[in-house]
Amino acid sequence: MKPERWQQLDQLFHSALEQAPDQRAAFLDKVCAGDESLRRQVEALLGAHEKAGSFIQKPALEVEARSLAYDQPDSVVGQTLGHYKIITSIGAGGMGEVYLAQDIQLGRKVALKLLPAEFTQDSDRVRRFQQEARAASALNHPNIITIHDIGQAEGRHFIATEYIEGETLRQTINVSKSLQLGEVLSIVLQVADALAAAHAKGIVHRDIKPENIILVRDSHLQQKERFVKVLDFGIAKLTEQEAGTEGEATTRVLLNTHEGSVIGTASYMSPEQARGEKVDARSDLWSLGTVLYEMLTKEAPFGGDTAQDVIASILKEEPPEISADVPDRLKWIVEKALRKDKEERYQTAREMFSDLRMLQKLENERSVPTGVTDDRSTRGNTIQVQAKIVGDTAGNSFLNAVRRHTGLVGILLVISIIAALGTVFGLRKLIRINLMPSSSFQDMSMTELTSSGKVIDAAISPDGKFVVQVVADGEQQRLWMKQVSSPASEVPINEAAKTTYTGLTFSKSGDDLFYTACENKLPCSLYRMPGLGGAPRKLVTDVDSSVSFSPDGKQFAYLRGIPPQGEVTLLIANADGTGEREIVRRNMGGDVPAFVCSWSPDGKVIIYPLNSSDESGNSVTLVGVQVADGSEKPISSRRWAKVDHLAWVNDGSGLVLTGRENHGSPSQVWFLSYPGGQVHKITNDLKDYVSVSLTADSATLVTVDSEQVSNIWIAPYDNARDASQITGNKFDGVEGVTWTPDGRIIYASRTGNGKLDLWKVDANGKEQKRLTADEGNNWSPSVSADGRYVTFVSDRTGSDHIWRIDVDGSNARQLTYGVGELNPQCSPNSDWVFYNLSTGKNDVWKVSIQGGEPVHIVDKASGVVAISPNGKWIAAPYHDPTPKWKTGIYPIEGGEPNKILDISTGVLSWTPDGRALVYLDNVDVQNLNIQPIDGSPPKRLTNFTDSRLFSFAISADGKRIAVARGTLTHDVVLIKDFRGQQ
Amino acid sequence: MTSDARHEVTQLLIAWSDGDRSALGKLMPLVDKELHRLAHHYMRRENVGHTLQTTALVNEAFLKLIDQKHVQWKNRAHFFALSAQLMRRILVDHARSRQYAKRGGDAQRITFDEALVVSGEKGSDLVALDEALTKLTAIDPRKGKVVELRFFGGLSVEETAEALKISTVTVMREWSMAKAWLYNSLNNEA
Repeated sequence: MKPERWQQLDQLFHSALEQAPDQRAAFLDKVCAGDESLRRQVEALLGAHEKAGSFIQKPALEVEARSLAYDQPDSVVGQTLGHYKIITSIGAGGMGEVYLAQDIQLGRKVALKLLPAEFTQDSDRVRRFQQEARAASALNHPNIITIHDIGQAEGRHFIATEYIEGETLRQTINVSKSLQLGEVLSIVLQVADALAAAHAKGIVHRDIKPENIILVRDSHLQQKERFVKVLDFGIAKLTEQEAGTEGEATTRVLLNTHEGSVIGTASYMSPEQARGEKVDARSDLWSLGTVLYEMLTKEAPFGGDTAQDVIASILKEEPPEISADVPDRLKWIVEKALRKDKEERYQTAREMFSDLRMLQKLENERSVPTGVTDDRSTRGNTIQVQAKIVGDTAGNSFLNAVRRHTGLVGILLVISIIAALGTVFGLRKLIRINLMPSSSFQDMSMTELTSSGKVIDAAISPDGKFVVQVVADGEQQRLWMKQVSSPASEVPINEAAKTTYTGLTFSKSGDDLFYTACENKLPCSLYRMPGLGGAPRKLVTDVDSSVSFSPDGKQFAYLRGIPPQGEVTLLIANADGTGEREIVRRNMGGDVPAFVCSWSPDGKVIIYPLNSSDESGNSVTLVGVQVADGSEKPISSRRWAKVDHLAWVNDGSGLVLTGRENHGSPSQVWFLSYPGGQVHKITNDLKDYVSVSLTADSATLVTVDSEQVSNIWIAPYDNARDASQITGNKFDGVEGVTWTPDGRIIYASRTGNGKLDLWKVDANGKEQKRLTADEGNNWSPSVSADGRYVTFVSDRTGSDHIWRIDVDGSNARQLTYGVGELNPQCSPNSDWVFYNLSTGKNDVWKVSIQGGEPVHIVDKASGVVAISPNGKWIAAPYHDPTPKWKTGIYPIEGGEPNKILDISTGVLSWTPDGRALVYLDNVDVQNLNIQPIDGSPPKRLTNFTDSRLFSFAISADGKRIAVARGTLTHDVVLIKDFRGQQ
Repeated sequence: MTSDARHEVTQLLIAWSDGDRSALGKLMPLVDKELHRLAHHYMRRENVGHTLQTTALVNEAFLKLIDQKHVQWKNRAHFFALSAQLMRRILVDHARSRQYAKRGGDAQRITFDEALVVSGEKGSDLVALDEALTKLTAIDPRKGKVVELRFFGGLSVEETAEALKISTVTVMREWSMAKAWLYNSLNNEA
């Protein structure tokens, strides 16, 4: 277009706009004077101006931010469809758009599967989608994923199902070295049971494969027993291309390209499916047979380089023989399921189930003579098992074959029983499990190496012969050495001192011991002690983590916090402490949650934990820094609420770490594979494990466990020594104690299975009543000013949020919906509930107890707040540019603190007269101190001499205090051969 | 970001503003990361009902990246212009790569109707818009600039006026015609 023309257009456009709309046509007649093309162009622009509406009104970043943030191909993420708010994508793939969404009405998480947008106009397909969804929703079976809702919103058809956390069978097969027989049976029985239920209602799954079988992750269950959920009943077909001919197989395979292997999906098809014939229940049984085969051999029975090859293999070839380790009976079951002629296969899922159940019973009985049977696969089901015994002329040889397999299932049972006992009784005594020796299974053993209860940190020498530990005695600490082979031997290797020791690490050769020592208010420094007991030398000043050695032992890595700049750096230095250089620098205000790092055995990468925000509020992930160039990337998508310690396993196949899965769970020992990023729990109890240290051969792991016993005591405010105990369970009040206005106590307690719930009790210990009982943990109670409600934290939706209930436990209602919220504190004279966002920053917000929009109060790194009795001030942790935390007094509206006080342990409460703050003294035997607001010296409030205080609350009338008191013991635990369990 | 990295970004920004086109290619991955963080931040704030102030966030991103002492910004306008350009490049590239992913870069045997696999989503809109904007800029550079500053840079009318040294009325005029023209351009393509 010529410039003059364009100018003309520009002028005309704007002039025309200045005319009244009904005058425009006439105006254009006059001005364009016969130049039709010009007139058309102006009119086109005017038309666009009318229609454009909000076109490009919103800046691009706002539009793109969602997809940028979540890196999703589909910008549906973050939007709300109907009453579902889409959080993130959980299933990729051309045909399967599955998202994690929040049901806003019911406050629960769901999996939302969307019908691809291009099918929306296809009314036929939509109708069948809905029909099948309705039929599938009529299936009510514990092993079949529950369908909550089907509908349409924002032009997309969707199915909302229950959201299950777990791994697919595909992942389990890929990750574990080999699946134990008991687990294989448990899984396939549950699937067979699900199929039986569906077939009975006339629904054929059509797409049974490891990707559609979920092993549910539930930390309360025993490790080897996992609950199975089958996905996608009857739905799979509908989201595919319709094809009545033999093209179906090829087409289906192509459409699933995005899911990874082009070949994968074809492998589970039955011969009749591959041929494009009509399929019935028996086709599902074939598919289950192939899945079972793959679980046993780790290879799919029918393979090939192309889809056509796979199909040919399905139709014509017999699968390779299953190895001799597998019982003959099971091989026979697989073979029957994989008969090419469907008339010769299992005719019903019930039949297959029966045979499998028989086999399972025989396996159990054979190895546990006392008659303990594994009934877990029938848990929650009501099944009439047809006691139909399929004729087996080789019955005897089957029994003999079963007898040949020593140990496997039996060991599984014994471990799970002991673990179950451990959970109930608390593994305090020595537990050494020496199982039946077996060539194919390494037993894991756990030994408590100390019983003093005073060990803070421990490390094992590379050769596994010595354990060095830090033992605390009042304010003093000392290093001791113990020989693993004679646990009674214990020798001090230095003098007791008022020093805090952490980060015990042996040099690679085992000759030297490194540790960080912190004296009083000085920054911690790194020391090397030559031999065990030599004179220590300071190597590096201002070190905040343990050191981790490079594979050749010539360098080590460590972390240092630099508070004035609010940063943390990862540094490397030579083994003699010289040549320090910076590798990575990060923001301390929230980025680095724990001071620990670990150097990989191949020397290439250093792992450390990092905070990154996500929807669940569990914000810690592990990040690997390349030593060569300082580039970083996460090594696993798994998130924790907290990670304390890490150690690489010597062959680089993964790391052992201690961490909390979510804020309500204990800190356990985990194994994280590398580079796969798969996670596997090693311990399974209610204790907290903090440190981790491995021998050079990584066969032995040393950790320090901590066990809490806590009960609630009431005392008069001015005479704390006159305290009486009012509860007698083991874990009362650790996670919160508070008063109601009418003088009752509400507290959180862990029940036998480890779950946290809220309870109420009178101040004399009578009328104990449970307030929460649903799924999920509930803790951290705070009662509203008028005594009507209790606010608390619950993870029942899968992440931590603030909820409220009436003071009798009814009418639960969710109050916050963000990334994760903790520590609710009700204002004493208004409707506001103050809380912290559970990111690394823990900044302070408030929300009305009636629900609504949250308000930001303190936008800096902080923690639990305490509100003054007159409701005008809040005391909250304050981090300023000195190496310590302090406490800030803020006006209730937030902003900047009016005053800073030197309290670093977190304020528990204001005194009833509003003139001082009550806080925990941070010495081992804990007591409460009072710090007056005016800055005058603190005083002691309590004088307990023999226990720890976990939480504390002053009654509304200021006359009494409730404390959760108890013991926190730490002991060294030696875990051997934990890797056999992978 | 280490101080070395920050220095590098600064150098690249200077080079780019001095006319070195290749600097942009090196700059983008660095800024991209910051932008992701920004987007995350934006998403979290949106969750709690705060309105976005794009300029503020973009500024924040850039201020974080550079060592302010070393870059002689000619004036705010210079800064805004650069950031808008950078933002445009990054967002469009991002949208383009999403488009590609949707088409299934690794599927070799798509023998059926492509329409089944690709669904027209916002990703393709942004790419098309970018192309249309390039065409518009060739015809009328100032209108192109206005759109780039407002839509990609998130600048308000006043800020755009300041950046281009024109009146706010002129900005509005340029904006409304550019918008109409782009709208037509996109819809005639479709």
